[in-house]
Amino acid sequence: MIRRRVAITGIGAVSALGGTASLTWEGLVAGRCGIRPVTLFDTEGLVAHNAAEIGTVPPAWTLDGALRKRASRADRMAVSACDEALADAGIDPRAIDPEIGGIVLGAGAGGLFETEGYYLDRIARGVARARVTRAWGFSPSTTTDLLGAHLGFEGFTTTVMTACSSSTIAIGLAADAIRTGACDVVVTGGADALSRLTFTGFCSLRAVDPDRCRPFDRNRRGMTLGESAGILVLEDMARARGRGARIRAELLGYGAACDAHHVTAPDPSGDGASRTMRAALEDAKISADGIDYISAHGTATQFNDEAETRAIHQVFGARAREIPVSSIKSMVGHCLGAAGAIEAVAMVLTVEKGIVPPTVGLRDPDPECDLDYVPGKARVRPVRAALSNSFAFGGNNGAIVVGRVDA
Amino acid sequence: MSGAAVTRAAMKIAVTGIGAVTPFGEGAAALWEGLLSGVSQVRPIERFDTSGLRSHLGALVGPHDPRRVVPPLSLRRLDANSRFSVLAAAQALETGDLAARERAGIVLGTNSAGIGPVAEFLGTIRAGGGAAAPPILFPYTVANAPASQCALHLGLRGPNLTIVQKEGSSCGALVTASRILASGGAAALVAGGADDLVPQLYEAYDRVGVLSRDARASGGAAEGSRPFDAARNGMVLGEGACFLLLEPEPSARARGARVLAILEGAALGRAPVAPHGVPRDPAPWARMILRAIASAGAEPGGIDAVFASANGSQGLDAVEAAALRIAFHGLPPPATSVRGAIGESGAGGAASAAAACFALASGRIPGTAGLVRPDPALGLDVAPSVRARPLARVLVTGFSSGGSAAALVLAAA
Repeated sequence: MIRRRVAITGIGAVSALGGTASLTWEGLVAGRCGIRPVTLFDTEGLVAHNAAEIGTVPPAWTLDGALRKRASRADRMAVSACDEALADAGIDPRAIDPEIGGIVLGAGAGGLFETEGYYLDRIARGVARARVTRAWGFSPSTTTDLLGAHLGFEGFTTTVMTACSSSTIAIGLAADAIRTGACDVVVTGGADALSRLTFTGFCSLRAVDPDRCRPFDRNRRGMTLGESAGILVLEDMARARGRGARIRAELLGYGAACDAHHVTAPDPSGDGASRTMRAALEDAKISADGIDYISAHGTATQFNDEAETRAIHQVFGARAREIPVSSIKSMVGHCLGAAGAIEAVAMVLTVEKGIVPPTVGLRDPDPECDLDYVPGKARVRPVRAALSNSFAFGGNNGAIVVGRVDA
Repeated sequence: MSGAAVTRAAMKIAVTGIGAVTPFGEGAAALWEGLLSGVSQVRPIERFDTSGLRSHLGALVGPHDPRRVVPPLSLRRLDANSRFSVLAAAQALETGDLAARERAGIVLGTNSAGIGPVAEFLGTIRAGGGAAAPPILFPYTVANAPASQCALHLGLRGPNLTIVQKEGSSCGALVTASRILASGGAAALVAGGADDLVPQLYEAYDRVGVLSRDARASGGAAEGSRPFDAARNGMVLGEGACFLLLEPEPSARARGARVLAILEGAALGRAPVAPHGVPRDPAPWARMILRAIASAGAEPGGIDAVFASANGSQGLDAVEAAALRIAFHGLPPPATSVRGAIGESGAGGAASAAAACFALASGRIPGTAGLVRPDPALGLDVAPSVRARPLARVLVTGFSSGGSAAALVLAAA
């Protein structure tokens, strides 16, 4: 069957490193770490107190006033990144046929920080007196519906909830929507904000570093949470070329597979991860030799970094050690439902500019982690195509492949 | 309408298995026979206290036994949604006789997964501080837990997706699955949805007034699930899980699978409205219906029945009816809704699709339980009892508050 090609024509981001994709990128290339003490809620009694928190969440002035009043921090980040991405793509959402525009977001905690207020209020004061309007963001689909109202799009729209791989799989599904002709332009990615529940939950799993995360380091003790939004505008390649759009990169393919191993822990053999990467390469019709950079899931948990390293060896064989592999989670934190999205935005810039962002905080490599993790400093290097991994609770794995488009 | 928006689905997809755990009990046959019986499973909720609320009814799952597919020790650790899901997904795989699961996955739509565990988790840390947080509960606060449990217990190693679109979640999951199959992302997908009736969601819905309420609170009609009815006054929440096994038709035929129905076309879309709101303008939903029909290579006149998402909500039923009137030039085919019998849940769209498959095979459109006096303003051909007629092709819709929309076109095998 004929599959249409998928252009990436716009990107937008909000992260602890800055309120736009370019500010985030500058921070990544400089190796700046956005991790700092959490101010959003009290972390007393927990094993960790740091996160890549966003100091000032964008006000989202472009959003309709009634919606803005209700919008969560995650919603406002999403609107800001979405506006930036569409402007970058040169698309006025109100000027295109609404039926050709879709929205596919990955979800995480989303509006949970605000919704927690309702749940806690309900416990304290009872159902009848708790302010139910605070639960407005209870559904992972709220941000998607909010963007829908904001943009007026009528096409292929849905919300993917696969925990830490949500936005990677959302981007893949968005690509399917374009490839199979369901629509022509899709706003995709995700936005996720810190919450008491996720912060406390990961602490309870003893999966959080008390200081800051050190992916692939011998002394790593776990992840550091973050929050961000990353939005990509995917577009039918022929349409993008036809309107003379600047094509930042091509979404070559994606893979999704399940460990079917454990609820929270990855399969230590790396089998689920390697099947996912292979599926992505096969879908992208590219051989392992065509990949010049891997944006690792790289959470800095003991299990992930070893299993992921093993899986990269399985897929890339003798070439594994020659491919730069980095984890930007060391700078923007683990953004859960938005992790794949912010990493995808960075990967588009990596491919476009030929600069590989580093893994910071990695000083003493774990002997079990024997790849080139680009420690400390960014590297200039042409990248024909790159692969980004996202692994999640439930073994819900996803990977995407982005390729350079030569003008 | 644009060219791209009506691109015909490049691949026909076979429905080769159906599994269900619904208020009618375990099994797709129980669901179908229950729907034909016209008996509603909506009753007073006894599982939790509703005395302080305006609503008291729900459609809770009937007898079912997941021990057949999940060992007792593991079963204790599963939340209610996962128990329904694993059992219903197992049945879909069994009826489809699918042994090859390396490239088989699941797409599960849900509205409420995670909500109960989130409330419980927050209650624990509020009472005992962060150090008291229960790690075992944490993964269940994420809505992808039920689909992950399905993969774990049923060996589904392909794509694992959870889709959230409020009431239309499972219809959205089915459309999503069809796109993944069309692009070659999996060999087979178990697709549908699951919800359990979560007290915290029930209470919140009660507060915001979207549930049908008792006569005292509504100042009129009694509480009940009455899709399309003139006296409808809100939805009644249900629970359950329902899945269809989907695979590309050629490979289904090649492996000698029994094909129950063909998924010929599908669409996702939305009407611009604020989250949780009811759209004013039905036209975008009508356009989405037309995209689904066009993607099947069909015409509106070729649709013989509509398995609607009407759930007794005053506003949503009216907008859906208006969208159907627009899409079908004022003359929509006979319509029915399963929500009168089993209430509204994230499994509703999949239960509609399952019913549609049985209807296509048997030439019978189940009646809408709870329907007494059809609302003349809706302009739909609806009935409380079974109607027999030849069915070649039917439409299944999944409309949600917040504007999201999904539709499937299913054809007789």
